[in-house]
Amino acid sequence: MRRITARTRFLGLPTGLFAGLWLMILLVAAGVTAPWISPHDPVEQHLEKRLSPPCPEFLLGTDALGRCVASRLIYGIRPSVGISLSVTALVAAVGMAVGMLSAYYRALDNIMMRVTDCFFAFPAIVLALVMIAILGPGIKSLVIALAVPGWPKYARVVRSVALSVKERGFVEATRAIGGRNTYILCRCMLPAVWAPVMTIATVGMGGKVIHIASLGFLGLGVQPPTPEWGTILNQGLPFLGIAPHISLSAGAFIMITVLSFTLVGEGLREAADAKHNAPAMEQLLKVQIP
Amino acid sequence: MSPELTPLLSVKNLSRHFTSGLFRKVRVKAVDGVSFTLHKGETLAIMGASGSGKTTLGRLVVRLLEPTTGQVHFKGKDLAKLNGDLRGLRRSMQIIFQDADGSLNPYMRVKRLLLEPRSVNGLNTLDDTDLLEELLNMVNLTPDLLTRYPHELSGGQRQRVGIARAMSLNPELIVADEPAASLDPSIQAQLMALMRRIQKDRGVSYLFISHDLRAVRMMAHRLAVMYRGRFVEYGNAHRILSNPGHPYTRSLFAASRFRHGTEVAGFEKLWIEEEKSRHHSAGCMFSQCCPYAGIICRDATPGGKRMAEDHRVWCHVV
Amino acid sequence: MTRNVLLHIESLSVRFPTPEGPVRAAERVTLTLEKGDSCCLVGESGCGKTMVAMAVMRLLPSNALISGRILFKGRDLLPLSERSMRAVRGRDIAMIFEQPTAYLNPVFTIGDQIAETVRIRDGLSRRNAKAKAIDLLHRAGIPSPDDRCRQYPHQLSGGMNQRVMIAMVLALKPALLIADEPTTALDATVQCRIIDLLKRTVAELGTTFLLITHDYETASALCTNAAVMYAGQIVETGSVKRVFADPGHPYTRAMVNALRGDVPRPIPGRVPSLCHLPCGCRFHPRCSEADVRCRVEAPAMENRIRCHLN
Repeated sequence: MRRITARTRFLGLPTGLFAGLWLMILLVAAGVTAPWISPHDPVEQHLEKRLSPPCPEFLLGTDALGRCVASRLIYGIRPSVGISLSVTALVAAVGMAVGMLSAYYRALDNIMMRVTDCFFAFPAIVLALVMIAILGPGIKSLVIALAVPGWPKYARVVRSVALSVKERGFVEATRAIGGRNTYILCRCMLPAVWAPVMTIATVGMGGKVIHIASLGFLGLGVQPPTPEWGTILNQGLPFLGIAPHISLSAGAFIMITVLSFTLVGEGLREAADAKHNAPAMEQLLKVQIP
Repeated sequence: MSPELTPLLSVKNLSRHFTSGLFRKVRVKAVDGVSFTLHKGETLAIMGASGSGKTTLGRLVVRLLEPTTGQVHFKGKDLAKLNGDLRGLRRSMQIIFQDADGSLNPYMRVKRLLLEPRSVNGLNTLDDTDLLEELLNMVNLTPDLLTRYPHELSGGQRQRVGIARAMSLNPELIVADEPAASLDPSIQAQLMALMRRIQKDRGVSYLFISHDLRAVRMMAHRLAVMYRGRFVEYGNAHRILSNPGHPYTRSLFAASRFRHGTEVAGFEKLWIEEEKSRHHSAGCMFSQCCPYAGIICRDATPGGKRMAEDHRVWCHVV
Repeated sequence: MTRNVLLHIESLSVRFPTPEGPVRAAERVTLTLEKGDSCCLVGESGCGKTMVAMAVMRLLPSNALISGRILFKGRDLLPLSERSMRAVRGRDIAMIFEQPTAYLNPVFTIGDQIAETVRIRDGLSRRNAKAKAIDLLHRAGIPSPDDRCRQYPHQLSGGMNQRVMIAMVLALKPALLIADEPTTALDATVQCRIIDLLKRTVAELGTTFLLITHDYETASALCTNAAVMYAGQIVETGSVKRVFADPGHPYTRAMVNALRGDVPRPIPGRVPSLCHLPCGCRFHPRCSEADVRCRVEAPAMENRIRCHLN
């Protein structure tokens, strides 16, 4: 049996990235096709079969109200993965814009970074609680609570990468051939910034999934009857002794989702590293390794 | 070289200062009062050690840096007075960077890199195979390199891509900043042969910045030697190379082992490794290290003395 | 094997397996250095000279396939364990590189780094090591060493950093010193000084010296013997004077003449890719004197020149 190391490749991709990518694709596909693939209606109650363990009819058993756990978990992909994907896309875009602009236009740098620092200081959970206190629990406050403290870390990282790119010769060279500012931002800085952003984004998505689940666990996020992993986990707690499958399977879904995002993030980071560090090794040995 | 009425490039009293430091403002004069002219089809070499200001001078000429004082006239037009027109004029003057800078965008393949200068200026579509063929032939590169990224090319190949990019805009002036530094001798020879051929075929003028005497000997029609931001010697290359006047120039040539093997006596002690602090003396910048320095050298900046036809030296003693 | 031989590289081959086929970075390289010798390996980028040096230091990447023998003081270095090799590196064999800043730790002062080397080598106390470090910096030609030793590598110029590396070498007192392009990254004027310093250091320590470079002028200033490499093979050996003044191999001749005189004289064509080498003599596609035999039969080393037309 081959030892799986960082170098092991499976169909051209590193193993971790390959596995993570497939998991992600499966999850997203399952979430999108939930109405078609889930075995039962997630809110339909089969009261006579409450708290039954996994069996051929109910693949992951039923919960306290006789609802099919498997279907609820599949439908639960939608809020968790859906919200985390969309919020991540939003904060990544905002953070990238702020970071690149403050790196490129030094006049804006100071004020933009101070604003970023302010937002950085927001503790996410506290903000969530405040939002919920003001707006009431639900998806709207959840999104605000996730988005507002989410973008500063992108801005910081993007700014530092963009600054280092700005100093490199090829930016000057592009200016020398007559490249305008927007061109330089798109063609020189954006490609450099892309890899770290993707890494933070994928790992960040995992974090958001946990956030959403935590708030759901506390009853403050997505509200019932919408199935959500955190709420399902919470609902299964009183029955851990007799019907552990509820909480355990919810927890397992959370774990697998976060794992898949992290694997993809790590894999992307390594691939980005390899692409841009290979030349360093070649320089050292002064040989063209084709 | 028959002198044309208007030189292609005319630089008068060009200076560029950098200020740094939080409390004690330190002002570094990277380039200090430099003047020269360059005609069509000519190569002017700027020689000097690192820190002499030659790189800054190159960037001032193509306007990647703004001068603190002085004027640059290109094709008769004062670059400071142009605003929107600068972009148009920019096409006529290009710069080739030293390879180590990584002047090629590492995220673009060679094909796009070659087409970029023209497409950025709205001149070509991105799939101009004729242009690609012409450029590849000009610099002797094979088509299989088109799909490669810059880090997959050798140093010599990267330099040639740089030259092709510069040439694709049909410039009249090219500033070549240490184009052959740290490349192998035979690749250096190839690059310089290529540059000479381009000059012969297209009448391009070069501002050739280098610290390598061998390269300068092969490329230059006229030569300027820089020390700490100022010219110390300027004129016809052949004349200066065979009969250098300024003590700095002489020690520079000696250090380059110009005469294979034989050391030129007396200049051993000149090369004090200089401190990074750029202390400005009132007089000649070289007086701190010069074996011939007298009292006048420390007090008064030397003016340009005519040593011979088209050969000026800034020195009190010579 | 005479007692006098310090390093004997016998039939060293270095290959890298790649998806496109094996890259033959060095092929059956044979080189002998006697005690006190100073030899240079001259050639262009990609000819394999750095590979040879790295093989001696056992610093090649783990996917390199190495065959042959490297006898140092009579002992073959290739089969040694990493632990034994570590004892050899630094103590008996030292190396300096092209970019000294890349090999100096940026978070320690240069004084600290030299003192550390001294402590490891000679086991001196901290205070004595510091004093020794200042003395070594002075011997390496760094002005005001007591101030300098408190500076960091990024505060010094390239030439100064190279002097710091040489000061470390002075501390190590190795039996063999390998220098890989020590002056290529420096200005012409600083090169001159570093070459002088290297010469003095080698003479002072009595160490055997192996120089790797592509600049034959540096080679002739520093070494007595020369070995010219092309596409992974040694093509010519001999005394430096003879090889550069009167080269026997067409490649050496072309290389020496490339930058002489007023007109650049490049060698036509390009260095072959190390995984698609030409048949017969590796230089024949670019050689103006090649004939039929050169295209078909690979020449062996004869009379210190690898050429049929000898």
